[in-house]
Amino acid sequence: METIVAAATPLSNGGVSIIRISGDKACEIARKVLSDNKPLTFLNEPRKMQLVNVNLNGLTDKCLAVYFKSPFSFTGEDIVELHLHGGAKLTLKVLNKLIEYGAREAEAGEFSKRAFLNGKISLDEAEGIIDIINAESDSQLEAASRLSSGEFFDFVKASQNILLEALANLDVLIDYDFDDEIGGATLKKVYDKVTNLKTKLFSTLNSYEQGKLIKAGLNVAIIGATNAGKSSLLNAIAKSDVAIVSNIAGTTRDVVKESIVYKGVKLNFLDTAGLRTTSDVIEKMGIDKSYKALETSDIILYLVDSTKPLDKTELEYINSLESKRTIVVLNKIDEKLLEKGTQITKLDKCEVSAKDKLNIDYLLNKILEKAKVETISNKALILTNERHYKLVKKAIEHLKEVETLINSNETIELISFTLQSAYNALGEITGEVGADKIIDKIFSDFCVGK
Amino acid sequence: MTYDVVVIGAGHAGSEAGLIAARKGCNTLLLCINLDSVGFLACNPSIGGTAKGQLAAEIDALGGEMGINADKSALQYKMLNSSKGFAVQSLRAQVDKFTYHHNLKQTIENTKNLHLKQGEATEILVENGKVTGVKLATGEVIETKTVVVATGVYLNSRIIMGEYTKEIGPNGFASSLNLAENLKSHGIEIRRFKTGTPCRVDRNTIDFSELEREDGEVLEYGFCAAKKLKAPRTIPCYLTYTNKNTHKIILDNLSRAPMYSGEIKGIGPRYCPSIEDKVVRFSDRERHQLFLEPEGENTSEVYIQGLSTSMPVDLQEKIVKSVKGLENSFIMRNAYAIEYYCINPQELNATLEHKNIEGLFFAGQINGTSGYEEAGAQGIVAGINAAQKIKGEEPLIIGRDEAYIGVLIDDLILKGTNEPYRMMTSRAEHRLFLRQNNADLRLFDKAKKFGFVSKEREDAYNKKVADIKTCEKLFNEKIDKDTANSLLKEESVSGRIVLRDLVKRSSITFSGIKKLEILNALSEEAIKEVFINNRYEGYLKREKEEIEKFKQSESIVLPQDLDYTQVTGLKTEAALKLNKIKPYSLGQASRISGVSPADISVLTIYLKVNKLI
Repeated sequence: METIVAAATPLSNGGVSIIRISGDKACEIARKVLSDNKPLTFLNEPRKMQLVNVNLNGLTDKCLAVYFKSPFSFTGEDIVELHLHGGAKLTLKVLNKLIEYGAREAEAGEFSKRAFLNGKISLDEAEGIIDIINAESDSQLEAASRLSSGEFFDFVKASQNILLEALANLDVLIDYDFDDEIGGATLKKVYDKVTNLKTKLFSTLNSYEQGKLIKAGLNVAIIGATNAGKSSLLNAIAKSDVAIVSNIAGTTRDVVKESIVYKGVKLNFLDTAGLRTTSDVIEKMGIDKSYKALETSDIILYLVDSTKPLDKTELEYINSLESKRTIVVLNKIDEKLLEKGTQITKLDKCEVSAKDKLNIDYLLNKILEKAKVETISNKALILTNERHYKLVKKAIEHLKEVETLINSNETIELISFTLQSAYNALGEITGEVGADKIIDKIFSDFCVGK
Repeated sequence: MTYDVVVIGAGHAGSEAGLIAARKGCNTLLLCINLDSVGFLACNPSIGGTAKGQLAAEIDALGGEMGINADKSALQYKMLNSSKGFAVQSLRAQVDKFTYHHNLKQTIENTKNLHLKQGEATEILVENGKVTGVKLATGEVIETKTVVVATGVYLNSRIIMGEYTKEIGPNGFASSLNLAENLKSHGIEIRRFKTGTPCRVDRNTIDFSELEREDGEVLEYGFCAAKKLKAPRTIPCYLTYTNKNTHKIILDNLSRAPMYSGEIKGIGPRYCPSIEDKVVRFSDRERHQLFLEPEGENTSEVYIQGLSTSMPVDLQEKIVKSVKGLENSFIMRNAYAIEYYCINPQELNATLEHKNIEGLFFAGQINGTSGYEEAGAQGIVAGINAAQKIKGEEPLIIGRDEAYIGVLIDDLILKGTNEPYRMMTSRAEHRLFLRQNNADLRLFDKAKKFGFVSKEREDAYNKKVADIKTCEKLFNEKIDKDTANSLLKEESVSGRIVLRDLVKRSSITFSGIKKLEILNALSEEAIKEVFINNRYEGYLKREKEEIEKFKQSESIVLPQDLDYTQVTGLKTEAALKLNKIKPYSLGQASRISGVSPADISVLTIYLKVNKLI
């Protein structure tokens, strides 16, 4: 495979900056940027560092070099690492030199991809690593790294072991034709195990909604009368110091006007038109879009121009909104206030000034609070992967069926069969069952062969 | 004279191998160290049991003799697991071990192309990796194209009763002393296993008055699906138990138990443990079941099932006499443990042919199994494949999704075994399909193509299939509310109901349905099949999906010349195992012990990246 190169540490002014070269020509290319007046012994002694000179068009600097010989490296290929003095400029210069000598700049996740293809990382880790590569927020990264670190798989494997025990209990009854007395006691034991496990799996399942939020971000619709200040509020949010505007291409949907990351959570602000009833066809199309945005949003910000009194129809409309996900935003508090929202009783309110960027931080916090997003939870396992979600759900359904079968005195062979189905569903998560399908999926996610 | 097939050993594996090869038209020689030990039931006087009943029915379906012979010699039948579901039900027959031997011997003698001869094979002659003949202890050389080795427990066997040991086979028959060395010289790995058998006591000295009597059931069919039972006999067995005193005698004298003193080096079966093993391992149990089973109709010998031991004879007597009903019993034959040589079945293909020696097949206990049915199952497969080889035709390979026989062989050749392997329903992952009652149906096509189907069997099959078709139609009929309600417990229906819907209700039993008037003209076996298929419809559909998944990975064929040590990321242990076994498919690879799911994904990725699959 082509030899690839990338900075393994962030391009900043830290103490050390590491460049990693991986591929058949890693040694050859590295040799070209390193000084020739000293024998490069590190290339003959893998995993032993050597202090060498790096040459950049007459400029020389010292660096530590280390060689990992295939297959004993992260990617499974030959890897050379150069530990340079920190500083983006120097790092970029060396990178450019390496590219000039035949290395190619690595794509996102390409080192991991090669590690996967060379059998250096397991299936468990690969799915997590793909999520890490695609992560756009800290919470998402956190969940993904837990996946890749195997925490979720450990949980699944422990659950499988419980089922194996239960299956063994049942199989003894069948293999040895024991009498009904022993059978009854065993079934009770199995029932308890199943109920217990089902509860555990349920709470994991519930974390998926949270996981989904982490992955896709929170959709926030801003609606309100045409001149309430929607654009300026969006601007204020996007340009406030507290928000980082997400600019990762290809992830936003067409209705998303602006995405930011706040306290590690991705917030997608949906583009909506004004909400007046109108006969104008073009405006109507915009309004339809707004209603659609309303339906799919997790949070609705209803923007009110506080300098004008609310008319009756609008007030009625506001009061008809779902209190669970609506925040009424009273804008323009820097001006003369005529509307204080006193007639809006059921809904949460928040006063801001988009123009002066007043209370924006407060509003963003309120959104997170409203959506009940735990910003980064350290406690519970969070399910973020749809494939995993479906399989956990399937396992729970089978366990419920086991309970029903035991309650209705069905035969042991059916109970055992259904338990086995639950086991297999969990086995599909870890790759014990149907690994080829997971591998196919990972292959396509890693864009192999493109 | 050159034979097509020479079978060494005429026990349960060898007899099936010889019979089927001859039935398939091969000129076959069946060798036995002593003709009085043909089809000898060296241990328990019964055929079948959980999972073993399925095996016996499958042997029967393929054209084997075990089922027919057991039915001929049966003393009583019992359907085990009858409350646990249709798929795990297994038939067990108590048989007369003397008639069993006589009947089987006579069938062999009367079979065309099959020659039964007393003789001890000492060498298998191999030239250029191919079998050419067998040499006997007498010096005689027999030329043959294929050999089936079915020596059971006779290779360098040694019986042990406490401090007393003797280099001898079961029941005083001679053991085979030179063949194991010869196998070793062909590069075949030899291992030592052990098994055991309990005492036989004199019926006239047993006090049955306070024991639980176990009668058999009167059934329409036994193991053979082609032949109804004429007048099934139900000669009783009796149930008794060990007690605290029994356990004390054993525990106090463990130092004299060869299993614990180190006298026995062979590895014994966990699933058929000796009484000393049971007492030590299940120390919380206050008693263990013991069945008193007749060895035959014309003998007073009674087999004590559950009391297998290798203790010295003085202790055997104390142990036996501590049991209720046996206080004054007289031991006619002592219990003993027996050690013997066997091979590592991982050296075999799914056809049971050795990977490195063409024409050399192995079947039965020599492959590390235990049990007559396990032996017979391998015997018939080895016999069929030896014959297929002679004819130059496609070999018979039975999948795990098709039969217990498939599970058995697949387990042996891929996982191997570290103790005598016993078949169990829990080993068969697709057991809802692998029922005893449908063995004839699911294996008919295979039997027709590879095995042997008599006219009688074909007629019986056709009749059953026709009955099933009729029955399926009748299951679409509505039956009136009163009839339905008379079958239902606790619940009721308010109108006419389609039969196939009615049978899905859990309180409906097969015994109720089979008596319905509209099904009168049909055989019970046909109604049962349709009943199960409807009752379990949803489960069977799911099972089918599982089987499809299984077949998918079975269909991913692995390159046979692949050196697995060259696959980066594969653990060394896994690579070595894979190199040794050279699995045919990715599915097979995943079942090899020591190859983990992680190894399989590494392998899959390697194959995909290198475009090998």
